[in-house]
Amino acid sequence: MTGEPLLSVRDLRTFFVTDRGVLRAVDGVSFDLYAGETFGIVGESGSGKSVTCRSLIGLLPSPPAHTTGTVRFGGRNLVGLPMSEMQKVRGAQISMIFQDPMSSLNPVMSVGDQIAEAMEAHTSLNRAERRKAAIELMRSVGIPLAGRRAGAYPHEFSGGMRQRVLIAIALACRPKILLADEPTTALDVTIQDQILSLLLSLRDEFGMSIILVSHDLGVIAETCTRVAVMYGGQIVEMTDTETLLTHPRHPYTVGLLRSLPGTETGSRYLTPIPGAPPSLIDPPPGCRFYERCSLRTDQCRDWPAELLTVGQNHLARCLRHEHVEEIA
Amino acid sequence: MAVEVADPGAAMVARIAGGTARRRRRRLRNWPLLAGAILLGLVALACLAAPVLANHDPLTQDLLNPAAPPFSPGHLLGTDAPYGRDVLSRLLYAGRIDLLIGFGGTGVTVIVGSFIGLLAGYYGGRIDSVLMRIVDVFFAFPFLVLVLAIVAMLGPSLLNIFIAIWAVSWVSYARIIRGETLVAKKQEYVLAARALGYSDLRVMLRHILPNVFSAALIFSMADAVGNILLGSALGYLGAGVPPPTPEWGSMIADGETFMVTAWWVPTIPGLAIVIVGVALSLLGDGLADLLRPNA
Repeated sequence: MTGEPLLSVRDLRTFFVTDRGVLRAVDGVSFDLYAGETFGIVGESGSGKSVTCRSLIGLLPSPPAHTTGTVRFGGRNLVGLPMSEMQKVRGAQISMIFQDPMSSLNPVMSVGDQIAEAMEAHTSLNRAERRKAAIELMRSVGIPLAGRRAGAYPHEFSGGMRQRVLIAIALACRPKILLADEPTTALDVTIQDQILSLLLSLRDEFGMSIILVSHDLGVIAETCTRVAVMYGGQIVEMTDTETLLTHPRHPYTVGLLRSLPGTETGSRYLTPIPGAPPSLIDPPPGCRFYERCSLRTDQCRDWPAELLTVGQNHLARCLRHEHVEEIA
Repeated sequence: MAVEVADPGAAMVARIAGGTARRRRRRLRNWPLLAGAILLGLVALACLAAPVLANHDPLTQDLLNPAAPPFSPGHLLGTDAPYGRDVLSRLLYAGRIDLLIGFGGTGVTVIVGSFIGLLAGYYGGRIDSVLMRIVDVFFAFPFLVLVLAIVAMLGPSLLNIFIAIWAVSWVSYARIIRGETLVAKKQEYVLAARALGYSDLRVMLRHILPNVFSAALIFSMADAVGNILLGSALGYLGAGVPPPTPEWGSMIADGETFMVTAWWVPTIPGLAIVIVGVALSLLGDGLADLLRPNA
C-alpha cells in the first residue's frame, strides 16, 4: 500500500481499572488503514480486537477505561477528542456495526425512522428527503419492497435483514470508514456470505474503507486485503492476507490456521492450541504467547517482545520466526 | 382430466384462520382498558360539563330545604345539611377540582420524575448518587405527613396542594425510570446509537425513554388515584381547597355529622372517589397488558 493512510493508529493502549488490578486490554497497537481497503483484525475472545475497535471512536466508558496513543484521522488525533467533537465524527465519518443484529436496533422505532435519524443527526436534509434517502439506502443494502418495509419494526425482520438495516443506518451519512465488529458472527453461514459480499460491494460503491473484526480466519481470508492477528492485547503478526495464509511467521498464527477446518491439510482432526490466553492483569515480561508456544526458548521471556520486520510489509512479534516452519 | 389433489392442510388452514380472527377479537377486548377508559371518560365528561349538567349553583344555599333525600323534585341527589345545597351540582363541580388534582399533580411529576430518573440511570456515578440520596430523603418521610407539612406551611389553596404533590411524588418516577434505564442502557441498541454519534439527550429521549416509559405510565394510573385521594384527604382534614368551594373530601367531612339523618351527603362523594379509583386501576391494568404483553 502506498500514499497517505486514511487512518493511522500508533501505540494505542486501552487499560481498564478493575478490582483485581489494571487490565491491559489493548497494549500498544499500531496500524494504518488506507483508502478503499478492508483491514482485518483477527484473534480469539479477549485478545483485544473489539476493544481496539471501540477505542478508535472513544466508545468505551471512562472510567473504567483509559485510552492513550494516537488515532490520526483527518489531521486530528481522535484520542482525547472532546465528546461534542467525537459525536460529529461518529456516524458521519466513522460508523460502526455490531455483532448482534437482534439487539442492536431500537425495538420501538420503525426501521425507516432509524435510518432517517442518522441523517437527522448529521445532515441538514429535511424530513421528506431523509425518508426518500432511507428507502433508497434500504434498496441498496438489498431489502426487498423497501418502500413498504420502511414502516416496519425490527421484530418483523429476520437476523440477516436486520443486519442489512444496521448497515443502512451506518452508511446513511456516507462515512469514510466502517468499523465492523464481528458483523456476521450471529448469522448462519449462508447469510454470513451474503452480508460479507454486500459489505464488499458497498465498500466499492461508497468508496469507503472497512476494518473488519472477527474471530474467524475464514471470514477474514475471504474479505480482507491486509490482516493483523491479535493476541493478549497486542498485534502479533501483520501482513497481507495471502502471505499470512501461506507464510505465517508467528506460532500463534500457525496455531490459528491449524485450528481451521480445511480440505487441503489432509488431517482428519483440527489441532487446537493447548493452554489458555494469559491474564492481562500484570502480564509477564517477554512474549505473551510463551506458555502455549512449542518453539519457546528461555530467551523468549527476556526480550522486549517487539514487532520485527520479517519480510516485505510483514511484521511478527516472534524471536524464533525463522523456525516457524519447523512446528510439527 | 384434472386430477383432484387431496390437501390434508386445507382443513387446518380453515381452522387456524378462523382461530386467528377469534384471537384478534379477543385481543381487542382488553376489557380492563376499555372499561377503565369509558368509566373515567364518563366521569371526566360529566365534570367538564358541570355548568350544563348542574341545575343549581353549587354554592347557593336553600336553608328552607336542607337534607332533602335523593330523587326530591329538582334535586336528583338531594340536598346537603344544614345548608340545603344541591348535592349533584356540588358533586360535579367538586369532581373538576379532584380530577385536576389527580391529573395535574401526576402529569407534572411523571415528566419531571422520569427525566430525573433518566439522568441518574444514564450517567450513573456521582450524578446518580446525589440524585438518589435526595430521593431516599423524600422516601424516608411519610408521604402524607410531608404533604400536610408543606400545605400547612404554605396555607391551604389549590396551587399549594399542587406544589406539595409536585415536590413530593416525583421521587417514585425517578426511582422507577432509573432502574429501567440501568437495564436499557446496557442494551446493544444504546451502544449502537452512541456509535452513530447521537448526543446524550437524543440517546436518552429517543432511544431509552420510549423503551422504559411504560413502567412509569402504568404506575402513574395508581399514582393519580393516590393524588385524588390525597386531595380528598387534605380536604377532609381541612387542609385542602378552602370552603365553600366543593371538593369530594371536604364534602365527606362536612356530611359526616349528618350520617344518620342524611346518609347520602357523605356517601355520594365517597362513591365518586371509589368510581374514579376503580376506573384508574382498570386503566392501569389494561395499559400494563397492552404495553408489556410478556410482563
